[in-house]
Amino acid sequence: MKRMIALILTVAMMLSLAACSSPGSETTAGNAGGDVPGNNGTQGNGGDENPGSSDGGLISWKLGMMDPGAWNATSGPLYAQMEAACEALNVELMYVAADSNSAEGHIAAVQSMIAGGCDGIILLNGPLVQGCIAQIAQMCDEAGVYWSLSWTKLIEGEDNYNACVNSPYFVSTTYEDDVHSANWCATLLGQKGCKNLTEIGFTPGNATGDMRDAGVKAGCEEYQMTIMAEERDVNLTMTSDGGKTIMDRFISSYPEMDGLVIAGMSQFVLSGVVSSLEENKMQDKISVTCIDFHEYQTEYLKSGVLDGIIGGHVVGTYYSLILMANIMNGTPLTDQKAIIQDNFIELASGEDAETWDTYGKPGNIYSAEETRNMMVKLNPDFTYDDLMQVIAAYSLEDIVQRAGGAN
Amino acid sequence: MQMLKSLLKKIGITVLIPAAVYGIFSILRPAVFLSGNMVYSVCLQSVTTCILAWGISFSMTAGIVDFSVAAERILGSVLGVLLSRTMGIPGLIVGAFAVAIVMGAVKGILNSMIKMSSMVISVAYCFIIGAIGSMIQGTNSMILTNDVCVLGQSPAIWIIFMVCGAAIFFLHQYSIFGANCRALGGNGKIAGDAGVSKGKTEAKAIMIASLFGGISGIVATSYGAGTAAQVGLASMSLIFPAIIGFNIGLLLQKTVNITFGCIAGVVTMNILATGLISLGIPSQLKDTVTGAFLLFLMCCNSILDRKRAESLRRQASQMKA
Repeated sequence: MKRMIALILTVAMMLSLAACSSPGSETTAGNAGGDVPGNNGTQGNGGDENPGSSDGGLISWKLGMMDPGAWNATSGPLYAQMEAACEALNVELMYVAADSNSAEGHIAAVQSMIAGGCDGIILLNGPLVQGCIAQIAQMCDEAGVYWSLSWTKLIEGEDNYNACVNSPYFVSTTYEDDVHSANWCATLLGQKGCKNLTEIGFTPGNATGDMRDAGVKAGCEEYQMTIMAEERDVNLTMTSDGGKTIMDRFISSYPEMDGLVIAGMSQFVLSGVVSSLEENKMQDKISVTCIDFHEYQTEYLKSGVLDGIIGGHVVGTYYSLILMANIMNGTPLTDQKAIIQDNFIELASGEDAETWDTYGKPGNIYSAEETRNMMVKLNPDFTYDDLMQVIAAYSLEDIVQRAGGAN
Repeated sequence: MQMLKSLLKKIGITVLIPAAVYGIFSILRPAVFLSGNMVYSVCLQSVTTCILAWGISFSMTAGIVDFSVAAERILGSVLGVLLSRTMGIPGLIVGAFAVAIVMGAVKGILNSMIKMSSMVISVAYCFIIGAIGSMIQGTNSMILTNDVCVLGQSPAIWIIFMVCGAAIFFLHQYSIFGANCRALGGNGKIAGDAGVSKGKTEAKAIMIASLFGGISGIVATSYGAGTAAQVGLASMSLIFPAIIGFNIGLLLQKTVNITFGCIAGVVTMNILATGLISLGIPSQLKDTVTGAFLLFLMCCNSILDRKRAESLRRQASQMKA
């Protein structure tokens, strides 16, 4: 009996570690014994078509991503868009759950995806943060699996950059200008006349965090603002009550504070920060700007407790999917490794936020029709330059216009 | 008179460490720390961790290290927030307690069946409970609206705090269960031979930890106006402040009930954290300072214990002579 219980518990733990599911995507008939495109070791070669598994001319293949975990306003639209795009492109999407806070977790996840038959893998910035890009490159190359990164800036000449561009199966990385995002936040506070700021940020050494710190610093220098204190303890910056504790401490310790920059993870801390401001009746005294969208941002912007929020960087993985899907279908858009900067969405008013809620938040930023039109197999006129134009155009106005919502 | 002296001594020892730390920061940042607001603010920030520390005090005393209480707290909060959409505050309470009772019972039963280190098995629980929380949350919002946050604000938060404190004090001070936990923690074999049922005592300790974890979750979610499911071992970071607070409380246990010891421990750590923020200490150094402080406390306690033991030996040898 005891052994049975122990066995059940062990299986339950293993299942929760390696859970895989394909929500929202159709199960395809699968490849009946034929080579899956992309596993034949040649970059850019779409490989053998499998006439038994195509949907409107598109080959069926399997994409792996890390399990997004609990939904939040930043990752939710990203995964919703990916699921919609995969459905449109006849791609089976597989999620793998793993510890995203360790290199071992990322490596284990990639191993699981490869073992699960994935033809392509798209990861976020975990490999960069955890320092395991080289290992992942090696694993994917050995398995003949295409792979991409997102939210990851590669700097030419550095080891990570070399590991990626020298990997035959590396497809792309997308990143945003994190110096700009933080600078935008600091500039907004400067324009409001703030002088004494506090900051909630990433742990030091985090590549994204370092860029954002640089952006905040630049904004502070421009407007002669001072960062009086900062909090980077991940035990506090990843929870709502942690956000409230941080804000209470800032308010108690720095009565002269008039601005707060949340340089990331606002989807976790912002509600606690707002709660603290309201309890201490400091909404009008302290201006707040933040990076990463929050589910109540519209209400906060309308009420004025929040002065600006920048985020919406949810389509980098989508662009990588387009590149990868074209490779899988034998029509690569480029033979170069794509290192692409995409755009943030800036919201400085309740109206902007409402627009995002309508056109961006549900995750249908690019419709199924638009997605399929980016496949050379279905639209022979589509080129890599066209994709670059799509990426460059990404903005609130662009989303509205394409959705037919422009006045 | 003796009782009054004893009471004053206990109060003095309880506030000694937090007062000393507060005093240091009052000298360094008088404008910030010499205000009544700061004391209140620190105490308020300590409530949720204190309740959690009380909850785990029995299991820790009995020798069970359970990191999954925090994961349970989060799961209870997630379910509570979902139920609060239709049921309001009662929904929050029902969700948290439902999870606490079910998980406490399951863990208590499994604890008696599986002869494995509690620390190891609690890691498994963290994964399982975290995954369940994530599945339950799905794409639902985990933000609480203001009208449902009452339990995290004055005076409700203080009423909950005092009721929990009274219950824990009574259980530690006057209940046989509390004595059994101490017996098990001291020497499990002797306690067993003396008739203490290890399985039942540990099961009760686990259930109390779960219940207080649930209460802590209700207060924390109301305090922070929201929660978020955390998968994997991410939830473990929530339990460590409670464990640290409990361990500081253990240093004072010879003189002061562990209930007040936990308060002293948690408040001390919050004063330290707030003080370091007020000094503008870089975040990277905060953990170093906190760790150094804990080491300092442990060293002081070691030295005091050794002096006490020496004093007793001297007394014993003088009596022999």
